[in-house]
Amino acid sequence: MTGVNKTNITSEVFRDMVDEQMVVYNWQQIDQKRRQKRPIPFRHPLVFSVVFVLLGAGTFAAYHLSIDATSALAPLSFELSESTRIFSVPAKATAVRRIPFSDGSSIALTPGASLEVKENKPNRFLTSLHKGWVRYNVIPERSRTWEVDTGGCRIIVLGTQFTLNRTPNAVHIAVHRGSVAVYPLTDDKILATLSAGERYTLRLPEQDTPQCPPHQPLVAHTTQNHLPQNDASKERRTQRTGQQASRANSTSTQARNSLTKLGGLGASGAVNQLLERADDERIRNQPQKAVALLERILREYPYDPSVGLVTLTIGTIRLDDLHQPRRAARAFKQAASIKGLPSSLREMAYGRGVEAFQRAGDIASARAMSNQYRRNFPQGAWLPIFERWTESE
Amino acid sequence: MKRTIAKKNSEHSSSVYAIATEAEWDNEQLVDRALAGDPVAENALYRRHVWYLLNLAIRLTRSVADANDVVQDTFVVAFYKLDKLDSPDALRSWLTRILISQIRRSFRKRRLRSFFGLKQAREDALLQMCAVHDVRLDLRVELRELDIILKRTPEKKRITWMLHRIEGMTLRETAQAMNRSVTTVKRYISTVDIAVQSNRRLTP
Repeated sequence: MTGVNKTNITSEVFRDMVDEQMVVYNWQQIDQKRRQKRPIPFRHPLVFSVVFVLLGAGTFAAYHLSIDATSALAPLSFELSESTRIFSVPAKATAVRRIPFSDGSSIALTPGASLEVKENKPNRFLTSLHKGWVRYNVIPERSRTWEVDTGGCRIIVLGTQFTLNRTPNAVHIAVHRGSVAVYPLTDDKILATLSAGERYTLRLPEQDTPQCPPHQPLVAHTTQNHLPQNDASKERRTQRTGQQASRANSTSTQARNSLTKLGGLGASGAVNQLLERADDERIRNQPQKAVALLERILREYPYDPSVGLVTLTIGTIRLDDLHQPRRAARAFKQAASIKGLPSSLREMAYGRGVEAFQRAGDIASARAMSNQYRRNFPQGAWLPIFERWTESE
Repeated sequence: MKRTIAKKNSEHSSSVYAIATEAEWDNEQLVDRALAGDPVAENALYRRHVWYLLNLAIRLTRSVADANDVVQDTFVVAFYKLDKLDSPDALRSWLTRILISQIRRSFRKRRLRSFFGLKQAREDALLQMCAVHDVRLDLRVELRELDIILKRTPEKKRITWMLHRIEGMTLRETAQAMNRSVTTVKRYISTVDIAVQSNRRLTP
């Protein structure tokens, strides 16, 4: 067994995934299924399929056509009752203000933020963010859609926790947990779907800047602040620093700092998610998108340990799927030069790099890289292949 | 299993005899005894083949949960149809055939579930995850690439290719397991071979 592409893979490569517990459990299940006198799950597959499809279609139609059937849900109730529609925190306030909802969800407004509840129906909860940093923590409820109108785009909440920052000329979205979908105000063509760890910035034209609502004299209640004490103290410290800055920037800086304290993004988790998304794109035959995602990892997380693997994968996709040997060669060369890359991967980077240079017609670079490989790996497995190429030249 | 052991404990001498001999029974004796309703023989038959079938199912379905379901159904069907088994010597290939049909059934179920937007079993046993721990890193990377190529391949071609190239079955055995002719099986395998080799042509 030397390599996968030799076509035959012996099963020695694979470990035993079965344990005794699994075997015993399965025997108990088999025993139970046999006692239920249901030896063959579907005796009449056609009848079962038809019934199943009909039931499924009925459920599907009922779910999508009768949205009002969710009336069993009550509208959300929140502090200061239904009469309060606009929540804002003065820029001089000393703490984050949290608005708890009856379903366990909450919205945290940082100083200077202003938010309006526009619609509160059993199946839809629409808020409008006028300005500032706000963190949404939404408890997922299948029948109720949380929507945020930022003046520049609509955000449909698909998951749980995300942050919005509305400045006069941009909307910044950062998702911490779950996912959100971003739509333009005018149509239903999705702009982006963001998962945990991802950020999105939408630039707004100057004329689109909405008028802020009249400021309500609602002072942030420190007693209602459900943040842990250390977060609140850090928040106050951040506040003090912010007072020295200009008024326009101070709110944003304070808020950004305080929200960072609320829980930052795990870099490696985000990298893993991007890698998984890139794999999915490759499976869907979208190598270009996969490369874009992988390049994003290199851009945003240049010190992540998986950078070598990512660069190598970019080279592979460019060479095999996009047929861009020159760019692939560049990626392989870069991968081979990354410090700390495991030697087997470095060997692969050299080998594939030589191949890419050769396919690009750059024989001199191919030869230089193969010499480099020979110096680093005198007994390397690629050497016979290089010799074969040299002979064919 | 527990039921069997409890029963055996009550008739101690005969149970000792049963445990001592079950390992020595050949497939024919096992099948005969299982057909006669001997629970010890049924369990022995199960234990003799379950490890092979479970490992095979895990690699083919890429999910441990799905593999467990599929193997359970395989044995339920096998015990139900045991009287239809022509040659007890071919017990393993017969079980494999049932397993493959159950796996294809589970793939159909998966498709139906995804059509209705229902939750899918997690794919927690990709080839790269099933690899032995000390496998070379470049090989692991290639297994990951192979996972991606195989995921793009239609299920019947993928299973055929994996049975022949990974599990090491002969063309005839693969054809039997897939319930297809040898020619069709060759065609499936060569289609996947081309896809694999065009992606991974030169790695030594």
